[in-house]
Amino acid sequence: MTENGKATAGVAATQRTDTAEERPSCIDPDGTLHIHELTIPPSELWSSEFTEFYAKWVVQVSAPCAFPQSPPRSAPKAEWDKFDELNCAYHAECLARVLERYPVDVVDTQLAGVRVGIVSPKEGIAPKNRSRVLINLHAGGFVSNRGLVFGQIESIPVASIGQIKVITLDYRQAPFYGYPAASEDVEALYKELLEQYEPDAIGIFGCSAGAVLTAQVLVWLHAKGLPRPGAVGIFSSGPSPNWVCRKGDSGVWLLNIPRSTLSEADNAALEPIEWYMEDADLNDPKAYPESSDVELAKFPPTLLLSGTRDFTMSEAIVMHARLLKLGVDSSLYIMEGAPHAGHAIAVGTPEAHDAHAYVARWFDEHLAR
Amino acid sequence: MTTKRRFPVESSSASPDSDNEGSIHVEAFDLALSGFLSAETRAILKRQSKEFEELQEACPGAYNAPASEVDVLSARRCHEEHFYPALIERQRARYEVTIEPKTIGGVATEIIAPVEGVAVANRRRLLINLHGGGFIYGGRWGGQTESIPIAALGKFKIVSVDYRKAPEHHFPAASEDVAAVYKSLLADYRPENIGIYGCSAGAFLTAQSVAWILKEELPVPGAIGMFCAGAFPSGGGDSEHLWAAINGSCSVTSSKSTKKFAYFIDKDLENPLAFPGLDPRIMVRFPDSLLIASTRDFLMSSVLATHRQLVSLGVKAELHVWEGLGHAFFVEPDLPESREVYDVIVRFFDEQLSGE
Repeated sequence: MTENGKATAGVAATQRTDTAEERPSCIDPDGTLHIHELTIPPSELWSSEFTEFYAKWVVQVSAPCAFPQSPPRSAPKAEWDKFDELNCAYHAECLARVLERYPVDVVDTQLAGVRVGIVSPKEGIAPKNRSRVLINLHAGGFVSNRGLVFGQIESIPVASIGQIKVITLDYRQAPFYGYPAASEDVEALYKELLEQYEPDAIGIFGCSAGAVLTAQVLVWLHAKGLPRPGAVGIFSSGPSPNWVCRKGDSGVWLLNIPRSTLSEADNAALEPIEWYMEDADLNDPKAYPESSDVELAKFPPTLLLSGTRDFTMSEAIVMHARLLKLGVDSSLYIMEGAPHAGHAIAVGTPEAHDAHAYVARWFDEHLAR
Repeated sequence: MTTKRRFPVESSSASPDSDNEGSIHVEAFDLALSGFLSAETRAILKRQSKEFEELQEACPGAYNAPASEVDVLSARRCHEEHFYPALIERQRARYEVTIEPKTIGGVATEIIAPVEGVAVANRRRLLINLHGGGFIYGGRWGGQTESIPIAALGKFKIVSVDYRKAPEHHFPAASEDVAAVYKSLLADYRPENIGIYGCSAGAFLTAQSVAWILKEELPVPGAIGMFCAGAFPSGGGDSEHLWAAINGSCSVTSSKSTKKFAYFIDKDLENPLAFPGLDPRIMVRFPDSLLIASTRDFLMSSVLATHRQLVSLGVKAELHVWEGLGHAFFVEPDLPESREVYDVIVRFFDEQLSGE
């Protein structure tokens, strides 16, 4: 490492032997850097397991039509059902590995009229957690991962490591439902749980769109006069539903790195995310929580988690600083090299395990006993 | 962010952009200043860009990797004449402090304190600052830049240590100096009322000092801050790869950003007293830690690795990352984000040091 006694905020500090005139101008007056083509190798800080995961993941997302393609918006339900099937099949192998590593019981049932998967560790819920419960709101851009498969991938490690009950919620989403359907579903479940649990013993966490939903729900519950949950986790997200991730440094992983999370064919996948929010009012903090400092300031203890190769990292770190300034007890965890939802999909890696262990411990420290 | 490239237009059956080992090939692209930065911040960054160019004119070679001891000494002189004075003047205009030299435990230090005196709550508390500078630069003046805002805003007394460094001295000279200062201060301050913090080399040294303090069987300080570096050597993390890209974007020949300092020799890189992250048995005994990084800091991965390890060992550690800014950005007091950093540091030590 080379380092001088000077600060080089946001601008390349270089070792140069040429004079200013000879140096190629590669910083624009507005501060834009022109980056040469480069190869980004695996991080040397990764475990061999994570390196293997990442190598496979890169190949997987680079393939054409990497994910099952969502149908056109107006496609009939049968087509969307088919898409859901393919999606579940796509994630089935990952789920199988999660189940193998983290033994749990899963009960697929309904609560408050919504489909849920209730996840409990096989060795039993820890005594200190019998009066606590977590709700998980799955990723999927408000358009995919219907059913419980991907949600369970996210819930199971937390339930197992934390020895705590986690309820995965199959909330309503696009194309057949728009905002605020998902918030209503969470509210229904939450009210049902309030009959059994103290609010500050209930935690909610979500990944990607599920994290956005988590933040929306906080404002929603407050508007409905319901007591706030004890703590929330916002993973791989901002948590703004505004697709602002292009504007921060971590946006390089979406726009400039070929394919990243989305293949060429999934270009169109960005659009459906906006379907769910189409009728929502930009000025309504129940829909756009980031629009209100007043509402953000009421957040319970919050954990923001992302990865250095996740296009949401910049939003997450900015939101962390903002929450702290508003007096919220906010914590931040950034995984080295994790892509979007990396903590969930890098199954079997020490990095993912450590992240989940931290999530479990964090909730343990922040939920009421 | 402005980009020349949109999503790739064509996709073929095998991606030309990746190989089976997980490397990613990226075509040339533009990286604008982060969209999250305010107009005020951008203006200051542009000003700094110009200042840096002027500095390079005034001190040719002083901002290159030194190739010899002579280079280091002449660079120090140049930093002292052309870099620090204006910066420290800006800091002292905002943050009023007194600065007094003092020898503690046989080591040169400066005591930096708020002009109106330390806060009542801080009378029994003390911070020790370990300056950055790659273990070759930053003596005295670097320590001032890192202590002035904290002393003034936090109303803390800060002992900034002018530790021995390369090329004149080598590991573990700095660790010994910090331990000597610390041991001497223990006569007047309880360990739980002492905080140690540093940025860059100063962060590495903070971690090293804790390891050394443990080795000397002294009680650990109440809390520490590791900013812009951590307890792990930096090599090969994501931040370094991206930094190399940013670095390489403006050099004629690509410069390797991984170079060993003269302060360390090769085998020090495997010594847990130099890089305590290598030994969880040391790390598990670390006190409450504040970790700070930024997205364009080539050492961010070292900070993240340190945070991950500490929390997995059950040590209380909090992480803060600033968006779009580079290594040690907060020595510049004009940046609004610098003020955010100072506030975080002050709040952390205020909460963590017991003060009784």
